[in-house]
Amino acid sequence: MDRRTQTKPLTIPPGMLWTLLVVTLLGQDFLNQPHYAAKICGASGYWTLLIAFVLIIPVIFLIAAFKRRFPKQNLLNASALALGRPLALVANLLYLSLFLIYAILAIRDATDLVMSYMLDRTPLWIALLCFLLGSGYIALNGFSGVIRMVSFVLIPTVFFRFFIQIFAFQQFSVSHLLPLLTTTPVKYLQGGLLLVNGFMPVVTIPLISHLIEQPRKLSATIFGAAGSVSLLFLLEILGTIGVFGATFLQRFAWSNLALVQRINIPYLVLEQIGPLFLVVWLTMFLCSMAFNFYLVAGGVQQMFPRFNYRLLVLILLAVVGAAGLLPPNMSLVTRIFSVYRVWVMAPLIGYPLIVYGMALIRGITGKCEV
Amino acid sequence: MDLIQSSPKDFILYIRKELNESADLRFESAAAGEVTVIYLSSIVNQREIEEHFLKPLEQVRIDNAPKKPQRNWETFIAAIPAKDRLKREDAQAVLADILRGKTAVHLAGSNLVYTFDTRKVVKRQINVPMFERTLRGPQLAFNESLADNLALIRQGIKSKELVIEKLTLGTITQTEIAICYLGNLASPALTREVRQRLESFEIDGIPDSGYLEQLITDNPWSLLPLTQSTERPDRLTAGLLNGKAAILTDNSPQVILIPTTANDLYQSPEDYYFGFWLGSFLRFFRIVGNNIAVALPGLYIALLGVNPELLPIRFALTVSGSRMGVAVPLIIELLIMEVLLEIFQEASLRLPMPVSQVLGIAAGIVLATASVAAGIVSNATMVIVVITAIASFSGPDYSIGLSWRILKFILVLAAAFLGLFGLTIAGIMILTHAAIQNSFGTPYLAPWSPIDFRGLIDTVIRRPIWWSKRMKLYQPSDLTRFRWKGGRKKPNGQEDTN
Repeated sequence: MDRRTQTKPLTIPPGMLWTLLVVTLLGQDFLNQPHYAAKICGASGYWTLLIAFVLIIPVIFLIAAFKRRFPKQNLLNASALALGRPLALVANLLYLSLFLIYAILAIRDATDLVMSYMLDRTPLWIALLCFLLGSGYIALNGFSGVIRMVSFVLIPTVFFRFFIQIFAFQQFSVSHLLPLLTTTPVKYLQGGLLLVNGFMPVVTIPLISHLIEQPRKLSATIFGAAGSVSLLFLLEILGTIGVFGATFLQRFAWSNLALVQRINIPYLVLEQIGPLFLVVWLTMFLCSMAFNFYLVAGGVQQMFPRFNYRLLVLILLAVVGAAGLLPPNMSLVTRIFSVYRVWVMAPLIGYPLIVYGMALIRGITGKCEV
Repeated sequence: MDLIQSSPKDFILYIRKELNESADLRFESAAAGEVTVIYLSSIVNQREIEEHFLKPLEQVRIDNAPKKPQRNWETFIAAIPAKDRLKREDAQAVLADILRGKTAVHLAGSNLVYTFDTRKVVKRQINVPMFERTLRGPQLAFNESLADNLALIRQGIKSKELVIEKLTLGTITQTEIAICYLGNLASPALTREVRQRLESFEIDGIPDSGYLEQLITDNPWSLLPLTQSTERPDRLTAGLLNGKAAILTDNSPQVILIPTTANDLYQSPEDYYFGFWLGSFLRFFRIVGNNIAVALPGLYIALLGVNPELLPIRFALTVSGSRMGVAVPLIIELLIMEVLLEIFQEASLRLPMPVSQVLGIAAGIVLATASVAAGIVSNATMVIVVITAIASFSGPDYSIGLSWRILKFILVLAAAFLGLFGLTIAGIMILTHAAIQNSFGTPYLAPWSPIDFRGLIDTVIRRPIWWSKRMKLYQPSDLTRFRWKGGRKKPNGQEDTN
């Protein structure tokens, strides 16, 4: 906020919500969806994305129903009404800590990615510090900082990613793809569940739902954002399986990046397009991490209004920085992260569901303002 | 309030004392000592004093001779044909008028003084723009006279909706400031905010509009210009037509336009004087030039110094080959040249015009050739530095170009330490800083951030002037700007639906 101009209270119109979702969804895509898709379902792994999209639909309806019941509250206020203050306080803190742990693992994983592709001789702490500086600076400026950055980066980054994904079909071989169902339905469901975590930013909406304008358009906006991003994810999966084949691509931890590395554009000034792609992804990633920090710091401040938001962000950065340096084995972190990313969706979806269910059973609706 | 003494002698003493016996203070006695004419000879039109005051008053004396003229104001005032007469009862007000170039007429035995406008304005003639040159469009620039500048605006906007509000700032300089806007377009919140900010401080003097810019900006610590200054009346007219407000300062040829977005600073008036495609072409390459100026040195360092694996092998070998024999590391080499170039640019601004161009070219060529021959810099670095220097002047606004020239050094250092990754992080932090700025309530990076798809039409390319709506960006009171009159068709042949 500038120090002199009177600005009206920040609200989120549908277009802004769409922008926020698209950038954070793409930023939290760890370029490894094809890896998991092919690992579970082989050459027909692209079906898993469609299943994941279907699985996220009830979540979207849940969010819309939540907004209808609590039009002026977010999840943290609503939980106090539905569960009672003491229980809600504990549950909310646990819920926010899930985002914090996610931020720690995600930043560590991204640091690993950057060090593998760009800075192989740089100490870990320097790369980590850079991530914290980049995302922390955005988060320090509050939600308006996050929203303005995602707005600014939306067009260039999405266009770039889309065109790169199209170029990545250069060495595409249709024989690598199997259009028919080739494995058991359980496997497809398992793959779908694994890929649902790609839609994690969708479940953050209950935390900012009190700011959202035009609740009638909420479901359509989330569908629009998730659908647009799914199209890009589908291109990733199709391209990666089509170029590498289902078995070979499992050798790459960041399979989509490996795919982009294969692009060959004659007379381009750069030998490889991969690092440029990484720069674009990093931009989105930093925005989504800043959003994550905002959610946690903003949530804590909402529960304890005496705390200063900026101070909370700085504390979070220190915690993430310290925790990011702790685990010594990079591959272990990556493994923990992949497991965490899958299972974290259960409490992230479950908690709003419980709050909504309790409110429904107890007949509680949001009447007071936040 | 100080009372005016009726005795001419006392009043003269009072004025002398108040104005510290100023050397240019003049007292002329007329009409047999009944009238005293008081003025500052340095800022009044001496001939006007002679013609409009002394001669007519002498005539009154002759007409009444041999009697003394009666102490009647009507007799004397009717004789003086000078303009803008004001009746003063306060001696301090008389002093203020004298300091503004007015002439005071004191009549013996009266506690009243009449002042007349006899100002001699020392000013340049209206000239062609020096810093915002265009190939097409009006070639007029503001000068240091507030009256002339207001006349230029009135000449461009002959509308009753043009509002001009005046105030005086500077406890010592008493500088006149004018706020200008179109009453039916500018948002009332904007004009209120402008007034409030101008009245929110007290300062000894306003030598130039640059002072005001820094005092009213939303974030004076930001490196980015959050207001726009222009010397072109046509740019100001276009701004007012979009719902902006302008602040004119007496003694300054630069007018402040607010609110301002980064997008405004890349727009030149001539974008709209040429056709759609030509205007868009010019603007597109201006923005490309700016991006080159900002990012090229950083990219060069990142790609050649830290991440050479990203370059095609032949290209990397050629560029690296050109560095053979260069004694200093790449980053030092680039920084030496960039710093030297900044010094050149600054020095060429201070040199006399005929010398600066010749000396700049000669020094540039000689120094560049000698540096390469001496092995201080490579040919490749020289090429990068020269491209950057030329590209940095592609933008029409000097302030934003200067900001980017400074930020470029941050990008270069970040790239030197962490290559492409460092460049990305530094770039994101700079963009974040820009994104969170506001100019009088308008987001600085609008319409990119917060995104406004309709507004994006007037960014990298130029908005068609037959576009019916004004941009919502500055919250104008009336959005409709253009419509086809009955029977006319749109350029694409469709019927007008507005």
